[in-house]
Amino acid sequence: LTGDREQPIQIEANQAIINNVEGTATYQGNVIVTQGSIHITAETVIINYSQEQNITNVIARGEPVSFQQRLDQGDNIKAKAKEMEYNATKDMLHLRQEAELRKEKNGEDTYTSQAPNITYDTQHGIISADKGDSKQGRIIMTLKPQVKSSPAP
Amino acid sequence: MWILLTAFALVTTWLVQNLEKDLSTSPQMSDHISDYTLHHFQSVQMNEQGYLKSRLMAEKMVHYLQAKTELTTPAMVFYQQQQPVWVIQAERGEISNDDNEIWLLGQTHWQRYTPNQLKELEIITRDVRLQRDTQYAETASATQIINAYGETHSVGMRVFIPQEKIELLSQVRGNYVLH
Repeated sequence: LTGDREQPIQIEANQAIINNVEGTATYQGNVIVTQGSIHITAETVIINYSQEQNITNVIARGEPVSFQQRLDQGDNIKAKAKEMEYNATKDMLHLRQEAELRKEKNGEDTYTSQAPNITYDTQHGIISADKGDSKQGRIIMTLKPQVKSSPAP
Repeated sequence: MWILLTAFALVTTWLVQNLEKDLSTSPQMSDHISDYTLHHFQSVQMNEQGYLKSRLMAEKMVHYLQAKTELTTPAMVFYQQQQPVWVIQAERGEISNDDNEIWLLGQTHWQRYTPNQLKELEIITRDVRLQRDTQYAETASATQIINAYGETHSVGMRVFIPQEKIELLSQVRGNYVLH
């Protein structure tokens, strides 16, 4: 949702390590991250923050990491990958390794994309996929055509 | 005559034993005999280069023959490049006999300052055990960490001051705001 970005980020985990020198906070064990309608589950989440203590990006790793967000038009974005990086300053979500992203409306997929890497611009809703380094990587995109309501006889 | 002497010996033995009992104090009692007390106590530790490494202060310090030394409202300060970086205050404290282990008891309040003396981090927890030489601290209590981008709670914490690393041991909950 548009307002997600203004919402606070909540994190739950089994353990955490805060390293002031590196400017990182690493959360481990059943990690759940929520921000407005965004919901991420992962095994490890690393928050990087700047010298001024602002969050610059969040990296999540898991088998897989799952991401979910509701869009303004009522669709749901659901994504999976072994690694996700959310760049807070650019509103970009990078899905790496066995990435899959689906758009869903009323429980039905309207769009699916599978690729080694997928990038999702959460601000503008733009999705792009690439093979990354893997030679055999394939990009599969499926767009479900919208059913046109047939004119009344 | 013999009877008198024997009776006298018995009575004096009983008297002496009683006297010893009165004079001797129970082990717990001798533990808690204070041999000296200091007010506005300060203890300073220097590093190998002769620079200030840490400073332990307390309103009152009571030293005992056997038991741990007791502190009232202690404060522990750790320095880097002659600047106070970590300041830890507590309600009361204890020092081990070798002066290296310090217990900061009751509510403890930690503050970490940047080189230009801005407060960057606060920690509120209880009952901390601290090793002065390695500058390592740990607690099993609930912990609250407050910094510029949010707040983190946990149960149990380990702090490695020279490495600036804080390990939160269980039930970690974070609440952060993106600026």
